[in-house]
Amino acid sequence: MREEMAAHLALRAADLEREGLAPAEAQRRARLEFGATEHYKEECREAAGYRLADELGADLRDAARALRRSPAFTAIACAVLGLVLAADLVAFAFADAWLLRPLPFDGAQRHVELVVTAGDQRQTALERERGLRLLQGAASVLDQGYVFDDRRFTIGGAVPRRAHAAVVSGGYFDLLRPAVAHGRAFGPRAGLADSEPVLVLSHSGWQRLADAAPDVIGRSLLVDGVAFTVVGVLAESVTGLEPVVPDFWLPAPAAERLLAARGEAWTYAVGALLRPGATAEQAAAALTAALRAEPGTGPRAAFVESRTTLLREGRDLAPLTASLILAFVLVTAVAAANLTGLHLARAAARRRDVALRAALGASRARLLRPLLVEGVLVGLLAFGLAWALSSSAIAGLQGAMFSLVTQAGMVVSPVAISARVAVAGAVVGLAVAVLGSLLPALQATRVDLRSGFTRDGAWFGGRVSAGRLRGGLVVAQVAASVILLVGAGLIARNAARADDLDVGFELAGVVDLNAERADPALAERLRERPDVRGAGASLFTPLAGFLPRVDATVDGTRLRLGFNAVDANFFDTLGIALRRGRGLAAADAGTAVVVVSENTARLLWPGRDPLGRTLELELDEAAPRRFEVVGVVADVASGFFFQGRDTSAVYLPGRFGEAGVDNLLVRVAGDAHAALPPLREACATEGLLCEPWTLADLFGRQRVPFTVLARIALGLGSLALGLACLGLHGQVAFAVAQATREIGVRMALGATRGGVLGSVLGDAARRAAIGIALGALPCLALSALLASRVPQLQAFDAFVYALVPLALLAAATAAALPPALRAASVDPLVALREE
Amino acid sequence: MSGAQILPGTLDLLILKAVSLGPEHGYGVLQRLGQLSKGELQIEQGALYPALYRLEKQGLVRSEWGSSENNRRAKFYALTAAGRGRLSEELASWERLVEAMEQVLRSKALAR
Repeated sequence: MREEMAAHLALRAADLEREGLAPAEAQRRARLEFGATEHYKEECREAAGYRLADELGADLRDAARALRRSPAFTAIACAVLGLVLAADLVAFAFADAWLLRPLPFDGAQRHVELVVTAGDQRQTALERERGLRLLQGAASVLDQGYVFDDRRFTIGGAVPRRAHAAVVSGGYFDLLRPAVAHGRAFGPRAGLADSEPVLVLSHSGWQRLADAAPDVIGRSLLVDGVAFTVVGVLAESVTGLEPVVPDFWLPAPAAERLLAARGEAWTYAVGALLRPGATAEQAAAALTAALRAEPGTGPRAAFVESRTTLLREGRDLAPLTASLILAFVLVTAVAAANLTGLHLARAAARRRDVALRAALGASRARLLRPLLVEGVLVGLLAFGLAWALSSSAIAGLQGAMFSLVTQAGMVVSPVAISARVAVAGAVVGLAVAVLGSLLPALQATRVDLRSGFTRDGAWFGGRVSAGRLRGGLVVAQVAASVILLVGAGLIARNAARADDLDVGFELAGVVDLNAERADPALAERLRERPDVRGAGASLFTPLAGFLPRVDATVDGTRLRLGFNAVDANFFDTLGIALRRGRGLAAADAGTAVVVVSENTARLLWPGRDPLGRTLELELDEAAPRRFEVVGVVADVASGFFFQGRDTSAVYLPGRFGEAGVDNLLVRVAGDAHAALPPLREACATEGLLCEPWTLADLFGRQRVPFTVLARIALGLGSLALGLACLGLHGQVAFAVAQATREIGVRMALGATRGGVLGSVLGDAARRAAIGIALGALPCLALSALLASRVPQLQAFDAFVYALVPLALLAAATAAALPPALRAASVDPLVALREE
Repeated sequence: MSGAQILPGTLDLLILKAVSLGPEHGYGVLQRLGQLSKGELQIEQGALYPALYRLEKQGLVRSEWGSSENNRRAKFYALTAAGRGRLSEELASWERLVEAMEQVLRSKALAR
């Protein structure tokens, strides 16, 4: 615009010069003829619609100045929104990484996993040959198939260590097409029986197992004692298709040769892409047809389940996700309410200013805009704070949340505040910031010129005073805090119940040896040690997971029973009490006798003697076998602590090192943790790598999800409580400041300091009590829902329901105390002279 | 320069007409109007620009930077299709106005 006008003046001056004027005179005349340049520029800006931008710029400058002038308000508002927004950003980051971001390959939306069913039993783990055959049979609808399994191996070296590997067929990397840092990934041929054993390291595996050596390609790593050549290191961004990042990838057939040495059978998850246009139903039909074409018995139907993100979307996950979302929405709503309260107080302080501008003729929109701009500016500042906080804290938070998982030597897929997470956070932050300033701005600008100069505003046609609105906001914040804190309390209490559960045996002093392979000689050597009281072996370790079910026929009735296989020393080592008959002897291994748990006996033969009775078990695909019950032992807990002790358990006789009875449990004298290093050394002298852990720790690991949830809920609850107290404090302080004169009058009329203190505190406590009551109602409804869904959980915990309200009431009163004391110390003479 | 002040509200019409004869910069528009009216029409030079910006915002003219006859950078305005339509509408209504004004102003007496 300036250039355009300058050009005009120059052209005119040139013309005037041609008409014979001196250059200086020509320029002067040109400027005179043009008229008031600045005035026309202004008009041009308005005509072109720049005016709004100009005004917004001015509003922004005003808002920045206003915020600088009230640093307390700015700091509190930014902290309130910033803290909550930081929590939101972290939640967004996790949701994005695990639930929203598609798996890292083309066509992730079409990614499916195979499930085969036999009766009501789902099976997602298949032998490699069968999995690949099924994929072949369904090739018209499924494409890019692969098999996957995760296993732990021993990596040889100066210090041998256990590492986490993904065992995959070549199709896996064809699908993933990973970014490679060094060397290459392996293709379909790498795993053929006659090919060289190779492996590909992940970035974290490269650091852990190869000390990030740049010349690692071509070197060999000892995997379970067999040399594998490192052919590649993948880029840091490649973390696989699971939340746990593998240290390395092994081609399936080469890895299976290792497993043959361990005497283990391999099964895999089977994944593939639906061909474009193909449906899950078509895939199920094709797979089922392929399955039925196979010889032998076994699963008769198959289908596919979609999996497009890092976490499998399970029905079990939905209520959890929903309650987490609810918790974060609540905290965010608390922040919005708090911000509204802050802005309301501020708007009240500015009524004179606003009224003055209105009197000078400013329109409502013109009055509203600077207030909203101020809200947006607070939102931006808060977002900056939140972004800085969450980016620096997220790694630490993740580490703290999954400490029990990482202690087991696993790397959890890292979560970061990505650009899209930041954008989502900014949108939420600005929305909350605008929302928080909108109501107060609307109120502040709805000025009646007369009242604007005299008193605090009113709402809804004057029926609700602004003071009452602020009180309502505080009540809402308290209610939200109640919900979050009761939720946190219930989760924590249920997690603590693990301590109360009698697992059915003496937990203290039992160590799971976790040896790389079952060695009977080691068991014998351990039993000779003075610090070892006993050593027994089992197929499944107690507390490590729900016992698998086996089809059984008892007296003509078919049912499913939990089963385990144990050696002769198992019951003694764990201290599982014998109730009837005898335990299992070494000579029983492989014979047709079983020991059952008390619950099983009660279930199968209520009120009758179980000894000598028989049951038929379908243990494998061969014909069912008949077993005779020779003893009854006490019930123990195998699965989740809140599920209590097993409802059924059939113990088959086994021998350590045979048929999968590989888990050696050792009872030590004295402290189990202190016994771990000597046990590890004992293994090493036998040439074995052991990573023993105590069963008590294993039991503790069960609590991880509860602990994580309790920590999140407690964190959010404390945040909400802090905000609610801050809001209450602000509201009481504001009310006291507004009513100083009234308090002065009352005191002049004879009110005591104690009376004033009591009245202010009572008012605050009343608000808190209303909030508590309002918050408790949805809590009770949620508890009832929880109790109906998961009866094993204790949904109505009297302790939590009593403690949370009392704590909240105390916190609220404490928050109101400083302004209440200020009210009580009002000097009537000073107060009355104030106006 | 002496001459008639333009009628209020007619500046836009005059600019559209001037620009319809070919793309021109602001000063050129003024010169063109001066030549066409043989120096009779008086337009305050600065007032031209807010009008040009308004017309551009309405999409009736579009602008493009180019160089003027003495090689100065200047912004050239040209008529858009919408501007052409508006010009013919405005011309028609102008003619109706002039006709009506003439009839009124030139009438000798009212027919009874």
